[in-house]
Parts: sequence; structure tokens; C-alpha cells
Amino acid sequence: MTGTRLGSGGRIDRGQVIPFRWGDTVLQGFAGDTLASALLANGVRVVGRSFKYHRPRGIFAAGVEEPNAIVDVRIGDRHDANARASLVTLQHGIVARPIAGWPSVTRDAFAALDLLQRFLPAGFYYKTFMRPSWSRYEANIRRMAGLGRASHQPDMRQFETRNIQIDVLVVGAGPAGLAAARAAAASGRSVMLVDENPDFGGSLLWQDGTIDDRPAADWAAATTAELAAQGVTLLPATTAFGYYDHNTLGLMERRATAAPGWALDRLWCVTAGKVVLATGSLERPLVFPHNDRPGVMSAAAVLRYLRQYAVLVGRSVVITTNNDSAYATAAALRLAGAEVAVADVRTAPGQAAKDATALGVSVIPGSVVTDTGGRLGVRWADIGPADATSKKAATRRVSCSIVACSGGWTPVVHLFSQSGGKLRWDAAASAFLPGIGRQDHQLSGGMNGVTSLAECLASGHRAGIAASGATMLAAPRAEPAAVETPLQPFWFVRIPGARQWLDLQNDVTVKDVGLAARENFQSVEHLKRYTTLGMATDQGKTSNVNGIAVMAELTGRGIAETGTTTFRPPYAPVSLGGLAGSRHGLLYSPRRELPAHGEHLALGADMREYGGWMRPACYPRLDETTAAAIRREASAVRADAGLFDGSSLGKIEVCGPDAAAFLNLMYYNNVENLKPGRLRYVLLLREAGTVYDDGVIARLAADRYLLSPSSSHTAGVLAMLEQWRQTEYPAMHVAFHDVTAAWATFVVCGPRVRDIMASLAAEIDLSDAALPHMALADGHVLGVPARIARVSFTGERSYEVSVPAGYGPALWRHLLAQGPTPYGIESLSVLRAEKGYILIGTDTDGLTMPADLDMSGPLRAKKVDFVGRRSLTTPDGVRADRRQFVGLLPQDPNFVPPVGTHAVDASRKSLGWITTSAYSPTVGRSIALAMISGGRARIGDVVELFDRGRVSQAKVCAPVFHDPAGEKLHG
Amino acid sequence: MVELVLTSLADQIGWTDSDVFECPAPTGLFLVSAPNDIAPNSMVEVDDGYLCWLAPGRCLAVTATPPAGFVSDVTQGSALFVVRVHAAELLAMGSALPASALGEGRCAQTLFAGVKTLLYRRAGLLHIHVDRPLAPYLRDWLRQAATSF
Repeated sequence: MTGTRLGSGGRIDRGQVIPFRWGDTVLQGFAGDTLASALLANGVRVVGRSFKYHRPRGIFAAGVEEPNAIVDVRIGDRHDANARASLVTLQHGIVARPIAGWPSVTRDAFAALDLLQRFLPAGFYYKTFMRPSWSRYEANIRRMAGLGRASHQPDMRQFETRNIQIDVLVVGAGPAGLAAARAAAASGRSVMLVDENPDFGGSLLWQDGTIDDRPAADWAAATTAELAAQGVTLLPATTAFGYYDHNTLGLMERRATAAPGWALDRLWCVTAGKVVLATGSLERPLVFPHNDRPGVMSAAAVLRYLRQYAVLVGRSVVITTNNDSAYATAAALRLAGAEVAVADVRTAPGQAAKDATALGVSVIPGSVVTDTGGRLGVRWADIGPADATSKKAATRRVSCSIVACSGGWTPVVHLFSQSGGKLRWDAAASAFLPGIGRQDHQLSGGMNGVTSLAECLASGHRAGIAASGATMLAAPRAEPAAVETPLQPFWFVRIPGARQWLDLQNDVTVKDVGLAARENFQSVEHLKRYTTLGMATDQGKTSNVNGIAVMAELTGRGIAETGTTTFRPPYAPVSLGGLAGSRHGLLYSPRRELPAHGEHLALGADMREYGGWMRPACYPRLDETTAAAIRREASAVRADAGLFDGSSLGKIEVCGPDAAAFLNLMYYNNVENLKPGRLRYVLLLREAGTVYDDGVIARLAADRYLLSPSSSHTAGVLAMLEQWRQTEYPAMHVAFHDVTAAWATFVVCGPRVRDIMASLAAEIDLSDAALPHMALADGHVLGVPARIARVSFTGERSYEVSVPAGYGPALWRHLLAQGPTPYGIESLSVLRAEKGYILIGTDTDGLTMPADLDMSGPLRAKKVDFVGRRSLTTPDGVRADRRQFVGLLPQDPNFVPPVGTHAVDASRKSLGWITTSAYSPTVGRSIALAMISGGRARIGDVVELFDRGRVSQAKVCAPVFHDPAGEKLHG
Repeated sequence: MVELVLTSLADQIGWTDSDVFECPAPTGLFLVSAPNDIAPNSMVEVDDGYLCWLAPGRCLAVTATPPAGFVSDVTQGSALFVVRVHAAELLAMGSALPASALGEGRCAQTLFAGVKTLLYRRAGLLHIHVDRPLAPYLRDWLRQAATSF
């Protein structure tokens, strides 16, 4: 006989029948059920297969610690490939299925793997699948393991994130949490109460007890209502998954409803003045042979299913325990009509056992379950001496469908540990308890080692008062706990060779821990990684303490000495979409648009993201390939005229009486002797002497400059200037304004550029005498304020025309009407490569120094110090074999070697690599720029190029392929 | 002579159909560095507008005429969003800043929706300044966020 629904009782609404699909079968549950309780009520025993051996697995627990019932759940457009059935609220439209087992979960062909278990010990994967590489096997092993499969389709739902600051955050709404929230709310401070379950009350909903002379569940409901009335923010069905610095916690709420298009998951980022941790404790299994069969359950879960969901999981139940708490389950089962036997490892179990015996429970002191049997679920259990060391020990076989076990309680110290708190082993409680804390929090209830209801309420009340400063409020009262017989630690049955599971989700057994001990993986960190104990999605909630204790025993150490691993977020799995929040789809990354964005789109530009800006890569015509468009555009610039949107180029205004001196201390080049109205190409170095950025500096007046860093470095350059001014030169009078966004800047260049500039009716003298190359002038064009600079990144005569951003679209349209060819970034890259102009971050890396780029002149000429100067003359900075910037002419003029292609010597040792490559329509062949070791000394040599097995040759040359004399700048 | 037409921010990002926000065009926006500082994170009323503190010795002047000091005109470079509805909720969705930081006469330069913004309340309405190139992004973010209510 398996699970059945009782005719009365529970916190379910029998008036609301909810049909749901489990695999190919339609079943029914009630409102108030979880998927797990509904499956149990329908007699479903096998819900999954184990990860490694494909053994059948059933529901073990009733909460977040469930290790077996990981299922695929679809509700409408929501899909969770690894849902915990015990946390899924049953609702209309649920389609659930097992995630493992082929062809079905009950008839799994891979179950044959269990016959090979002797050959699949811990570390089997590491030892076996090393050659040729793990990746060769990974896909198949993953498939066989039966993990849930995420959809390949994009998730179109929106995910909401909420930030909130709160005076007191109470995590956990069991007796201690409710008492804490009640006390804190009385202070008038802002309070938030969260719990991972859909109803507040925790164990009060399914355990005995009275509080303030009311049934505990009624007190929980009344207190929750009072808190709501007091304005406490209540978040049920919300998991506090991470506890970070400064009392910041991450919460994931599973809402019942959300606006159309929005996911139910909502992320809360909470910064709390005080935190009260009332996270309770979880029952851990008692370990015995073949304790993984469907029907082996946590004793507390059996009680919860009975009381909260009115599900009698079996009519014949064996309970094996080492503590008193399981007797509550025994009594409740007996009262519900089940046959119950208790195997208690303690030889003198005490009053709880006597009370159970009086109800008709068969109690066998000093015993434990020594084996179980049954193909797809428990059919019988052997009960033998707790100190049995052989299968031949005197045992009694009991027919049963459920074996409920209780090995004690494990405080939920995960959040405390995440917050930086240290744990200590408490032998009396047989548990790791909070030790020294690091953040501003109060600890209460089961997570702090408190066991009785009265003590939980009192500790929660004290915590709430301490966190809020509340006074004048009486603590809730419950009857004092009966005297308990102490728990007797019992970690496994000492029958050699018996298969006893510690980690049900990852299939880790006592034998695996023994192997780890013998192979000297005795540190808990090694144990965890070698056996994968506690590394599954349940994070070892039911297995860690047992596994550590087994290791301690096998190595003759104490548990305190053996230690525990560090708890890290998330406490329970949370959806990636929830963590991402709004940052997906169009809002994945904030992107900047150019003032003439709409004009580019109208021209059919291929818009791509460059350094956070959406910019035209090129403007392909109908049926034109990108490569063809780039060649056409580059050719047009050389032969006629081109128009380029350079609005993203940085513009930082620098002003102050010390502006010149300060910039001279920052830049590699001398900028102090720059005359007003003139420009200079400059490098900005890091302290290590490597090139951080390049750009152009214009001097507008004696005390005013305009910097033009590269588009993606503007914010970084501004931050660097501020940092140096504030930390190194605070006495200097200089200030910086980033005005990049205020201007639209267009570059007009090419042989016909003068005609186009004439159309601007500029109130600026554009003659070469007044505005030579590398000069700048302010004035008006077409009636609006403008700035015109003569600077070129193509090698052609160029004019940069800047106007206030709002006039950008109109100016672009006007300039385009004059007939130049619009060209994009990719076309510009070809043009600048032909001239050997570097692009920072593309042709340089974090090791490139100015001399590598053949720009050592300023170092010799500049008299004052500047950032990075001392590093330029270190032995490393002057090595002859440093990689230097050179050009390459591939032997095959039609072959464009990819960027990243290595140049190699005769022994195939890398000399460097190609940083830019293109087919140059101007030169009529392929060209490349490269950083080659001792490159300038190799000019004229032929080097071998190697790229993913393809070998070719190229001639090293100077990095200028077009107009080496620079005559076209003035043409 | 051809006359260049000014494209307003409203025209550029098309906010006029939004119930959530509007994009008024201040007469002038100026970055100002001057030795006469105002209190951190405060707003100060002046004859033709108000000043918002940005950093020591630096403020944004929302004024018709530029104040004295080192001034850069960013009228065309900064977008202003005024949130009409759900301001508290949108602030909580977009920023970790406590609502209390935006009391009367207060302002804050902080991340909102993942981008650098200047936030303050004026006439009870949440004001958001952002670089103009990011205005389309912020428009999309606000529009999307507003559908969650």
C-alpha cells in the first residue's frame, strides 16, 4: 500500500480540485497541495532516477532540501527544467514529467549501470575519462545522467528587480521568525518578513503545540494578519538565497501572479539595518543499507505530508531514529491508522518511546534498519542491532511500504556562513552551530540550536527586540518542552560492503567516502570535490553533516577537527532570468545612439555595437555583401569624398590656470607648448609605461583644452584625470567636463572635400593658411555654432565638423546631399590600416609601449615627468626583442590572413601576431598590421604565418601602405 | 542659405505617446566648475532655475543663462525625463538609492537602470537626467518597466 489522501484534515481545500499531468497521466490534487504532496496522494512512488547508477528514487522530503524529486515543470509559458516538486505549488495547467529514465522513469534501460556499480566508484570519471579529453565524453554522460534540459528558445518574459532598504529583515517565518517580526514591528520600524513557503508558520503548520492558549497554526495565522495590518512587508514563497556584505541580501520571490509578459520570479535586493536569521533546521537522514529506495523518507516529511496535506504516505511504516523527534511522526501515523514500528538506536529511548508504545507503536530499542528490499519501492525492512557488523546479525524482517528516518537536525546556517560568520561543531546538539558572526544580525530559533517551541518563540522575541529596540511587548508563550532523551549520534551501519547513501542526489555512498579517505582526500574540501558530496543542486542539505561525520570516523578524527565546507550563494537554485532582471533582449546592455542614428538607419546602415555605441559598420546597398560595401566605401573616400559619423569620439573640456601643466604631467607628448587653435596627436600611458589610449588634444585658449580620447575610453580617461588630480596634484587648479554627448561630429574627407565644405557657408576661414592640418577653429556653419578641426584618420584631407547634438541629423542630411559616400567603422578600419594608423586595443595590448609603435621621440624631447615615464627605460622596456608594430604583405595578394594569425620562426615559435588585416582596394592586395618580436629589424624578411593549421608566407614591411609621404593630407 | 533644423529630444525618441514620462526641454543645461560650492547632494534655487550638486566644486545648472565659472554648455547633450506615474516603484526597480535620499532639495548622481544618471524630485515628480545618447535606452527601459504594474 502506498500513499493515500485522508478524508479529512490538512490545510488543503478539497473544494478546489486541481487536475495536473504527470508524464502521460492526468492526476488530481487540491488547492494547497504541492506537486510532491499531490504525487504522493496519487500513489506515485518513483519520481526520478539517480544521477550515477540510475536507481529509482522517490520523494524524500517536503521542502527545499528534497534531493530526489527534481522534475520538469511547465505552467503556461513558464518552464522550469529542474523544479523541486516539494516547492511547486499545485495549480491549474501544470504539466510535470520526470527528467530521467529512458524509455520511462519506471523502466529505465540505463538502470543496468547499477550492475556495474563495483566498477564505478568515486573519482571514476576523473580516472577514466582523461584521454583524449573530458569534452569527448561530457555530452553523452550528461545525457545519461538525466539532468533537466533547458529550452534553446529565448525566454521572452520580463524579469523584475526591486531594491529596498529596510530597518529589520526577518528571514524565516516559523515560530522564531514570526515572534521576531512581531517584536520588531512593535517598534514602529520598517520590517520585512520572508519565507520560502507559500504560507507563513513553518513547522507550526504541521507540528503539535499551543501558543498563547491557541493552536499553534491559528496563532501563526493571527500573527501574520497582525503583521500585515502593521504594515510589515510580507513576502511568502520567497527564498533568501544570498547574504552579502553590508547586510545586503538577495531574495527570489515566486509570485502567484504577475502582469502579462512578466515572469513570476522577482528579485529583491534588500539592504537591511538589522537582519534576524530564523531559518530553522532540517532533519537529516539516518544512514542505513539501501536507504535510497522509493519509500525511504524523512520522518519529519512524513509528518508534514500527513498534517499539512492529509496524505498518509503508507499504512505500514518502519521508523528508524536516534532521537525523540521521530516519535511525533510515529504517534501521528498511528492515530491515522498506520501500523508503525520504531527502530531506535538508543537502548533506553525514554518517555517519548513509552508514549508511542501506549498508542500501539512497536518500539525496538538499540536497533536500526539494516537493509531494505523492493524493486521500485520499499517492500520490507530488516531491523537489527544498532551495532551490527555483519548481515548475519540477528534481524527481524518487517513488511512495510515506508521507512521513515531521522538522524537528528541540521541547523540552516547557510546564510550565516555566507555572511562571513564562522561555524562551530556542537557535540551536544550534534550539529554545526553559528559561532562568531561578522555582520549586524540576530540569530534565533532552530538555526541557533534551539529545539523546543517555547524556546524558539522566546529566542525569536529576543532577536526582534534586539534588532529593533522595541520594548513593552510580552513574548508569546508555549508550553515548556517535555524532557527529552538526548540524541545518540549514529552515522552509518557498520556492515562491510553494504551500500549506504549519504548524498541521494549525487549518488555518494559511505563506501565512496571510505575510498576518498584511503586515497588521502581527507580534507572536507577534497572530499567534496573527489566524491561530489554536497555538490548537487540541493547543496548537500541532507548529506553534508553525515558525510563529514563518516569521514571523521574513518580517519579517527573528531567532526570539529574535520571541519565543514564553506557555504556560498545561492542557498537554493534561483532562475538565471531572475538574476539578470531587465538586462536581456533589447535592454541587455545600455547602448548609446548617435545623434544621426535615424539617418543611418534610413540609409540601411549595418549598425553594430562598438564600445557601447551603436555605429554603422558600413552601408551595404541592396544585394551587396558587407565585404563589397567596405571596398566600395573605402575606394570612394580615396577617389572622391566620404562622410563619417564621428560623434562618439570623446570630448573632454579641460579648464583652469594649471590645465597646461597638469596635462603635461599626464600625457606622453608635450602639450604645454601647443599653441591655441592647434591640435596634437598624443598618447596616454599607464604607470607601467604601456599605452592606455591615444587621441588628439586641441588647445582652445591659454587655460582651456579639448581632449578627444577614443570612443570607448572616454569615461576611463576622465576617471584617470580625476584620480591623478585628486590624489597626486590636489593643489593644481584644473577641472574636467565630459561634453561628448553635447556634440554631433561628422568627418568629411577625400579629394573633393573642399567642395563639400564650401556648402557649409562657414563663418570660419577654411584656407590652409588659417586652418592647416592639425588646427581647429570655432565659428558658425549654416547659422549654428560649430567647431571645425583639420585632423585625419584616413590619410585624406579631412575636416571634422562639430555642431550641438540636436543639429546633428540636419547637418548629416545636408552634408550627404553634397554627394560624399557615407562610410562606416569597418571601411574606416581599412583606410586607417592602409596608412598604418593604430587602433588602441586592436593593434596594441596591455604590454605595448610607445617605442614599440616607433613613437619614442617625445621620451627624448620632453623635459618634465609624466605618467609612465620611469617604466619606459626599464630593462624590459628597452629589450631588443620586444614586439614592434610593422606591416605585412601576404605572399598571396588575395589571401587575407585572419586577425590573430601568428608569425612563427623556423621552429614554429611565435614571433607575434596579426592585429589588423584587410583587402586594400587602394593597394589592390591584402595587407596586414602586426606586432612582431624585433619587428623593425625584420623589415624585408619573409616570415611564416600560421593559423589553425594553415601555413602561408608574408613579407615584413613598414606599416604604411599608401601615401607614405602624407601628401594627400594636404591635397 | 540652408537652415539647419534642430531635432528635439522629444522628436528623437518619440516620447509623446507615453503615459509614463515626458521629456521637457530645459532652456539651458550647463556643467559648471566653480570654487563657490553648494552642499553635497543638494539643489539650490537661483534666479532663472536651479543648481544640482554633482561633485565637489561641480554642479549642473538648469538655468537659462550660464553661471560664472568654468562652464560647458550641455543643453543638447543631456536628456531630461520626468516620470509621471509609479515613480517610487520605478525608482526601486532601477536603483538601489533609498527614496529618502531624494527628499525636498536633494539630488543624487547614481546608477539608474544600469546607467549614470542625476536624480531628484521637483514639484513632487521624479526627474532623471541622462546623457542624450542613452535616452533611447532609458525610454525603452521605462516603457518596459511600466508594464509590470
